[in-house]
Amino acid sequence: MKFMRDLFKSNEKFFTKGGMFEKLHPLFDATKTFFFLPKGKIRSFPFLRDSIELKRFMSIVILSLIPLLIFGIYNTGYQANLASDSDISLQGAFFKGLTITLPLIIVSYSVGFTWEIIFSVIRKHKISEGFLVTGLLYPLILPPSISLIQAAVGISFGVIIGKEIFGGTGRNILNPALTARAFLFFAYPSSMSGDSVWIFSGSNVDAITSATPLSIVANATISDNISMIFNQAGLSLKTLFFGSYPGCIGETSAFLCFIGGLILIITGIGSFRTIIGGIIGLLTTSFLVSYFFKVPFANVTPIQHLLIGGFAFGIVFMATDPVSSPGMNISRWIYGFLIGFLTVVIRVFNPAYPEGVMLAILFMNIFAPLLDYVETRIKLGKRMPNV
Amino acid sequence: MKNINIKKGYTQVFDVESRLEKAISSKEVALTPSRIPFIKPKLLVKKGDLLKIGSPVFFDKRNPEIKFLSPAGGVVKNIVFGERRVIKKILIVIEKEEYEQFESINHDKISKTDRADLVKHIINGGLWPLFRELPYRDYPNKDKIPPQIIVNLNSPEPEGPSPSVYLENEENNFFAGLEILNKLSDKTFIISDASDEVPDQIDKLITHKVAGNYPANDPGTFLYHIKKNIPENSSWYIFGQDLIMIAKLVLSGKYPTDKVVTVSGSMNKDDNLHYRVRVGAPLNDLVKHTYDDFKIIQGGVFRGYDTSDTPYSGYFENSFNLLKKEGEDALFGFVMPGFKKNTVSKTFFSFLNTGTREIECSLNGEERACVNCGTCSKFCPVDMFPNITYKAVYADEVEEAIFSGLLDCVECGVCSFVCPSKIELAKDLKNAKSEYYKEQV
Repeated sequence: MKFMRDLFKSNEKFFTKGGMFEKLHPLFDATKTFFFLPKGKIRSFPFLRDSIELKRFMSIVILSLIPLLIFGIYNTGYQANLASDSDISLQGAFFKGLTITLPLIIVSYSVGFTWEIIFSVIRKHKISEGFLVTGLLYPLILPPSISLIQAAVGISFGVIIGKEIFGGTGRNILNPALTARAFLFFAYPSSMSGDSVWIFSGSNVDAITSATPLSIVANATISDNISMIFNQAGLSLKTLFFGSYPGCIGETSAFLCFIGGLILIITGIGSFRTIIGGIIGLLTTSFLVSYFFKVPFANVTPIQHLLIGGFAFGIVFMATDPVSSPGMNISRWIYGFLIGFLTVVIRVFNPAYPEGVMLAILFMNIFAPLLDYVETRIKLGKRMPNV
Repeated sequence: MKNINIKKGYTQVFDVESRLEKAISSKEVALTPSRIPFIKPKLLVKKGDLLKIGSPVFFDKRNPEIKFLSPAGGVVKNIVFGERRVIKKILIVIEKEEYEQFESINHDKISKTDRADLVKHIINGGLWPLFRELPYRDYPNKDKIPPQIIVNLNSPEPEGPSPSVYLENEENNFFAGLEILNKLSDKTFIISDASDEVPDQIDKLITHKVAGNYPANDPGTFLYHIKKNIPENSSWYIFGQDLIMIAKLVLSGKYPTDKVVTVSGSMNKDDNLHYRVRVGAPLNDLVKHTYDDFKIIQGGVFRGYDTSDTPYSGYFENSFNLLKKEGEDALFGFVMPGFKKNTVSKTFFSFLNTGTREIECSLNGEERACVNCGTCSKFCPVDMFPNITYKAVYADEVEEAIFSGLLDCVECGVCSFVCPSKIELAKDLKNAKSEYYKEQV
């Protein structure tokens, strides 16, 4: 520990004003503060400050993502090995999963951080912690067969257009991880959707097809019994709940999303209003759809709606991003509810994009400032003026 | 008597025992004009001048009638200036204790005295600025008749003197003070914290008991919760101990020199106690141990001043807090469980720990952009959205800032305390408020 402290101390001169790498000071600072949390001097009242700071704030989100990450690694490897008749033991699957997932995570963090550093150096401000979360969320919402180049292009778009051009963390309108995914979705549709992307097949083998629950429903007819088809495809409610089926790397397990959501709600990092509002929105809308409309999706029960696709992951980890979601309490309920509502609407009435949650959240991100504005106008308007 | 419950805010940091110690009699005192808000002090004395108790030392250039008097008789030893010739302290060595004699009014005659005479009496006695006018908290114009005066038996600091201590044997002075207030205004509220014990005679007079976290008993918070119309916004307030001082001045014709202050803090090696001291007495007279490496905060850890270089009891400040300076940077500080961290967030395990917490005068992080987490709104005692007001101030949108309740801000500092991005919300809002005030005058 002393050694580390000395190391930073002795090298600081190269990165401060007049040093060799003066321009790279944000990088040095970010590395140093990663290891040694600065205490900081208080310059004005109040002379006590809470111990929480943004690094802690963000690392709680990462903590709640760890179970999903580990399960995602295992499940990706397991599905790949299962399809290619290889070793499906715990170690075998986990190892295979690591070879698929780890490069994606490394690419996501390294490319994203490179952009962050470039922007920090140009703008001469400190590297913000926001990317710690984005860099981990992003690989978890990619299909396993995505190429590393595509992943790098996606995260570059997400960081630059989704965040940095607005001024960096705290000033972005859209969730950067979802922006990155949406970009890939429209730029490389064949690598992001369809039936052949959900299982990693390596470069030499033919793609292995596997229908996701959403595409099964999208291809079904009105008279089909969805639950029966799900069961035939090995997608019982239990499987959907625990998540051992092909899909995006980290978002298949509704159970672990639930655990992660619980951590976020207990620590107060994620808004329970958004999460519960979203679930209520999804359940009521899907119930109304199944009651009033004659479409294949009408046969999907609300519970199945909750478990299939990326809804659980999206509402817990994407919709609760404080920057791109509203800050007012009632707005958060409305915001969450409308995400649930739009998810179902997109799933049911738009066969081109069976995965509705990504677009629903991005769409509501745009409306978050409006919701906040209306609520603050109403609440502040009730104040007795003080002039 | 009504009870008011205020849920927001933050709990008290230190407990102070309700025991009164007499401090060692001071050899020197200091006046610290830079800590009196808004005034533009101009000196009336120079080095070597001989002063009596009650001799004017400096006055407010904005209003030359308002003078600040010496709490001790002696020689001006030194006048220390700070940056931009701010008067940091005026040091007086106590020699001969002679009183400057003012006119005195008998207790029974107060009600028959003319309001203007009474006001003039208080102004000449140098205690008029103890009255403060909301929402800006400057001293009020003497000719104005306030909609109401709020007497706060507690102190603006959460660790300030308890009414059970300073009201002891002062009941008569307090009653005289109330009669003075009746001359100044038609309506008087007497508020006290629900958890404090008040002598029975005075307990009967209390109109509102306020329960809740800091700053529930702040006059601004109280007013926000009871006000019924717009003119009430410019109510006056005074603290119980200050009212007793005014009463003593009026009754005896002598400038009152004593005050009860408290000493507390995580680094205080003695017990956290009350002391009766002379106004302007140095901290050395109160604590026996050394305190050179500590931060000394006066006027409450949340809203006070860092007075590590001039720890003298002040005109307004009634408490000393001895805090630990910021320590060394912690290795992987952001992932440690943190059982003893002082925090309102549940991201540390200290929310399970009801025992002692580490209290340290440190920022615990670095300033970042606002991430719209909404924690400040959750704790604001007057239901503002400090982040939104802050952004309006930041963008120079004065109208918008006022619409969002800037003037209701009670300057308590809780928003800055809870902010995970370490934004100086309270300081910026307070500055914006006083900027606006200065433009109006």
